[in-house]
Amino acid sequence: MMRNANLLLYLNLAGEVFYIIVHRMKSQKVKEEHQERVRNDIAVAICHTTVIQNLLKGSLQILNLKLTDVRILMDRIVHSSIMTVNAFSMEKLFELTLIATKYQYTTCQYPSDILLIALNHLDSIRKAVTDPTAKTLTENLHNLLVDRFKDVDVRTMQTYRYLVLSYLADVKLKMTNLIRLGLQKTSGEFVKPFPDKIKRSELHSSGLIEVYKCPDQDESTSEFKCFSCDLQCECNELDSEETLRRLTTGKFPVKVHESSIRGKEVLTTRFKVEDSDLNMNTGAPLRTSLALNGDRGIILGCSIYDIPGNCDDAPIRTDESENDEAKENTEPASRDYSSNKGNFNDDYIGSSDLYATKGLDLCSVLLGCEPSDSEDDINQSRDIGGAGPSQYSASALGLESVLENFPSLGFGTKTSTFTGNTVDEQLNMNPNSINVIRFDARSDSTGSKAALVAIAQDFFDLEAEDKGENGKYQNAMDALLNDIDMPNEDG
Amino acid sequence: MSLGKPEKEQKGTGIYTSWGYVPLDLCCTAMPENLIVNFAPASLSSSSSSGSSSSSSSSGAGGASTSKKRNDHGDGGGGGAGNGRALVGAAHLDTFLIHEVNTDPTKEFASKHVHSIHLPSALQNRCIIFRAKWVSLPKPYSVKVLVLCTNLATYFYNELGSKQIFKFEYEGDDADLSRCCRTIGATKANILLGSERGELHVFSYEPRKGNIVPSRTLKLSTEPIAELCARRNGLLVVGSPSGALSVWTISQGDPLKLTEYVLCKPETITSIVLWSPYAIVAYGSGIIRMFNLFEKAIVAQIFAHSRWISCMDVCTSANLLLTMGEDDEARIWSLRRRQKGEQRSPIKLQSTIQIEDMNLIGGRFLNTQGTVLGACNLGNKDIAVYVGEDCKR
Repeated sequence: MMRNANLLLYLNLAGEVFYIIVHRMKSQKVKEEHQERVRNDIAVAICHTTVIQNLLKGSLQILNLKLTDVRILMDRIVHSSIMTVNAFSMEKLFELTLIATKYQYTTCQYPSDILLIALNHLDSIRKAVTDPTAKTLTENLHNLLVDRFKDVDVRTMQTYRYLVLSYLADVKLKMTNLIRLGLQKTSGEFVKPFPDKIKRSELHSSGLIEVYKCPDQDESTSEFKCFSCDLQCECNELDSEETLRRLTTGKFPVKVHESSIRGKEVLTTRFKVEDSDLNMNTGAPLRTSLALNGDRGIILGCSIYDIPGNCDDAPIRTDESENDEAKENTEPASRDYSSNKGNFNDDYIGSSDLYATKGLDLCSVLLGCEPSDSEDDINQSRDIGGAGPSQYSASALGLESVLENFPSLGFGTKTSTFTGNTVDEQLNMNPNSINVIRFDARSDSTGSKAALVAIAQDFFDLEAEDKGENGKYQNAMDALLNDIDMPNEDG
Repeated sequence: MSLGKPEKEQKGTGIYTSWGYVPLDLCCTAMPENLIVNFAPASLSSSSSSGSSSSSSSSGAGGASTSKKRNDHGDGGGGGAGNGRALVGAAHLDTFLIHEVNTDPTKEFASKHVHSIHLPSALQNRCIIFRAKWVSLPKPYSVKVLVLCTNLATYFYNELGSKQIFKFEYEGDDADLSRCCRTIGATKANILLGSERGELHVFSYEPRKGNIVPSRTLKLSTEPIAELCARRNGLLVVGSPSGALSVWTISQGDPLKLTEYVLCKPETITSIVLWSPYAIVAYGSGIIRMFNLFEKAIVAQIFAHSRWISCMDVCTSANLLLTMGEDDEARIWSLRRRQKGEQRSPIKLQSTIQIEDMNLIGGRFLNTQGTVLGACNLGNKDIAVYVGEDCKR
């Protein structure tokens, strides 16, 4: 059971990582061939048989890992491609996956939908990849999911859902995209779609009481002294030996079928007015399919970044009063996963001040420099601890588990160091790996700038002047200082 | 089945308002019926006097009644006497939090932390609490036991949770949930655990040593025991994941199935309460059904919630039923027994509390009058307490 829950959680998190990466590459207008390569690589990493097998046999148990270790797992997925993401962006990406997963599991209508959510993720991955290996892996994983879950009863699915929600209970974050779509309040709570627009046969509109023909017996019971309140009441009749005697008299077992109430005189009472639908019966059956290319029937699990009106260019609310209101909220959403230590105004993606600071750090990490002090500060200020006090201390074990059970699927060496001392040497790039050049990108030395320009030209295939396509980048330096790293063509 | 024309529209007449919050160190996590209550626990009163017979208001700390004199029925969740205090418990993964709460609405709301139980995890598996219950064993034992079912083992603690009495480990080494116990009940002399294998584990209490020892294991069905409600005389009402409700007795040694209620299509049973002569059963479809155990008939079907019903509680002395669902609504119903030939409904909506944008996972009446209730929300570090303005029928 726990293995199934681990598998679902993993797919959800990894699927969200995929969505975010694809979305960011599109918004950054990365070359299509690079995008395709990254999509294929990440899909292979997510659906790799080694990982899935480790999840299924229980050696990789995400629900037992701390959030920091799960972040390492996601880091491995992301860096299995030719792309690299610096620590800050990785942190942001991980937070987005957590909150998106929590949103989907919180608002799903019925427990069995968590399988449909996972299949939605897989469907999107499968549609986005072109590499035959990646496609085969996603199809195999789809078939495995269906085989494993199709006969699982609803109560067990609810248990899986509870396990995942319990794991994410401490995560209290705000997500700009969800807030834009009206799916999350600025205080952090999710907005549930009530009344439910999706009608389905498993659920019913509330508001009706149906009473069947009353047996011609007096239901009043003998008075007993209530054990708890010392009053005369009828609450403990069922405890008596007389009751047992009555129930065991006659033939048994007696089987009573629900159909026995059909045709009986019925008394109905409505205790709630439905807005539109006076028919209190169930809705039409929700059509869902578990087939490879079937219709899942729900949109939870599809990319929220593809929803119209949810683009990065949409205005972000930066109203001070709103921020103040959020701060005054008794439970402010916070970057700190496990406690409410304050409200970070830079929860919103695209804070220009933040990126002005981090842009150079991004370059530094990409180019192999020492991590910046500010980056360390950011990491230290976040207590990414997961649940509260617990005797379960699995951080070291968890990390080992992640490293053992998630093979490094890097394509070439990620952080090979090329110790060049001159700009010329630094520009002799090794075509077979990520090129790392040691220098301080934050210095104003001419050599540094020239090296950056040269690298940006190579990455973006840009001229030194305007980009030309949309005039967005005035020069290669600007292009490089955007928030996502561009893949090395040769990596 | 033909529906008659709806008679009239009922509206909830009682009003419950927010009274206070019990702050927790950790957030509530999702487990069925996360919130449990121990009324008038012996450990909280300083004297063992019989105390006031009035259940309406507190008689003061000195004259408080004790649970030794007043024992709940086997389920351990029934009415409590009037010392105006109760223990409430909520679970967070491997930690069980116990707080004392003032439940006298005439006084100012107050609560305090009593104890936290941290359960050990295995090397490869984290301990997760699935079900908890205060079980009351009446005379001659007159003891309350706190039972915690987890994925690794079931633990038995004393009433305050300060001392572990017994640990029941499941067979096999695997922490796979398919072999653990997730339901708890009690008869006059035994504590019962229902397992995912359809087995009923029976435990006896040894008063001399204060031990709990395994007594026997009874096989009830091949399906897991989803819900279990037991009475002192050995009567069991068992719910299955497919929606079948069965009535058993174990008083004569081997389990005897007396009645089985079967649905047309599967609906998961999420909660069962017994209110004589009915078994009131909540389902994942949002429906509540009332079964007359003596008449062996389905009496009523209530479309109570539009989503999964997460918890249900009955206040037997006030004839009130509390239901909470994932549709963010908590409903309080008044129950009534029908006289001979009467055709009126045995259940009527009393009040609705909208608790928006939350995941309600536990709810209980906190006092015997049914005027104070508590609600657990997933992810919240508190238990919300509501008080009714007027809850009399």
